[in-house]
Amino acid sequence: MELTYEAAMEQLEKLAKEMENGDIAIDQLATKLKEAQQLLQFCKDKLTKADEEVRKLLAE
Amino acid sequence: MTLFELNHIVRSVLETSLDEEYWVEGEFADASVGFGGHFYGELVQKDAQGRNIIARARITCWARNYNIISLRFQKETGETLRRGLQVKLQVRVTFHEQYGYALNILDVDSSFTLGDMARRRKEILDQLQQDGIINDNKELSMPLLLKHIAVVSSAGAAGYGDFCNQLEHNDYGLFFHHHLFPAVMQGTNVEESVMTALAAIADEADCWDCVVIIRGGGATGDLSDFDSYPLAAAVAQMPIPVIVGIGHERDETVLDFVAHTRVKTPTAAAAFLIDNGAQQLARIDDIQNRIMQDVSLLCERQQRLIEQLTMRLTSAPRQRLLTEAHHTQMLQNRYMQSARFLLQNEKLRLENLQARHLALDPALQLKRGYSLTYTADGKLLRSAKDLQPGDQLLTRLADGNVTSKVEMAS
Repeated sequence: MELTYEAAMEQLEKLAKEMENGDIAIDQLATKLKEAQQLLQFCKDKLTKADEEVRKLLAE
Repeated sequence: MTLFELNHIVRSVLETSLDEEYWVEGEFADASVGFGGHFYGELVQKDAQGRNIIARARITCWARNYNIISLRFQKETGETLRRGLQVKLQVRVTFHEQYGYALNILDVDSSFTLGDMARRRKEILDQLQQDGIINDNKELSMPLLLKHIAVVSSAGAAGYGDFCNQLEHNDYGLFFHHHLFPAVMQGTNVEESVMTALAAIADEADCWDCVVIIRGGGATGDLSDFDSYPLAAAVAQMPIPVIVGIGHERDETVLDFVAHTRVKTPTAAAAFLIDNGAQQLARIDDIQNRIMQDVSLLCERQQRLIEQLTMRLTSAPRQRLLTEAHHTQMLQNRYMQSARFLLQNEKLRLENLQARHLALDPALQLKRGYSLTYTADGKLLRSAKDLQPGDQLLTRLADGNVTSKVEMAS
């Protein structure tokens, strides 16, 4: 199942809440942070870049 | 009699027997502006079912008057005097020998047309309500990401160009994938044409985030072409949210009531999409900031914990050493004190002993008058029982010895 923008945003909100509540162990911090950054980039790209299939369509 | 003469009689009769002006209601079956800016058309009355024409008259309006009343009519109704429009006209009946019977327009009642349009809209809305579909599109949730936009418009329309231009040159670097499903946006073909476009979009609804129906601005009437039940029903039942911006400031169509979102112009439709994207970007930034803040808070807290631990770890031994040193000092003090005390004690004891010893010194005793007596074998005499008469004794006194002989012992 491909990740959707809405699902990514939901995950991000959850992550931010976990961090705010201090629910994250320091050992997990790097992993979680990396995950968050990937999700943030994914969402930004969704808003600002053409999807793969659209690029193909446009190229045709 | 010539035809001209006959027509002239008809003209005279009409001119003398009719009032100067009449208010008449009807529908424009034809309407156009011709040479010299004069308005020509045809007014008809249909039967109760609206199928058959039961009355018909040619209509004219001279350019000077037409310019004034058409401008005012357009301002008040958002409509032009066009074919299909229900109107109430103030007319003068004319009959010209060459051109025949015609009604010359003196004035037009805007409120009648508005009322008629409103009545038609209300009928459509009532029907949509009754069919239970009027809120179907409104109840869909607008996706957070509005990126793939299906556009219903006409390629040549100025509004469409503005819309595309605005989307492509937005200030936020947002990317929109928009695709035109061309449709006629003016005239009697609007209904069928827009519905065909909508059907094509509905077929691939999962490719699109929303539909945008736009029509260029300008007040070129024909708005009531959108007041159609089948078209409104099609919009209401679209499986994805529909945004309408059919370029009219004053008036609204039934599509405005059934669409998910209504905006006034194509430009406003583009602005809506861009705002949405900008809001999402802001939200992403916000989350990013929150996360970074949380991370630095977590790190700071951890740092403090480490510092505290370090402090505890290094301070405990130091404290211990200090305590030990203190303890040693204390012990030393105590030892010193006890030693001093012991020495003092011993000294006292010695002095005491010495005093007692002095008191016991035999020389001292002898001086006091005591004497020591020894037997012949040199033992100190302690008892009379040890003596026999005739035993030799030596008695020591303070200043010399005396030798004596025992006469009797008892």
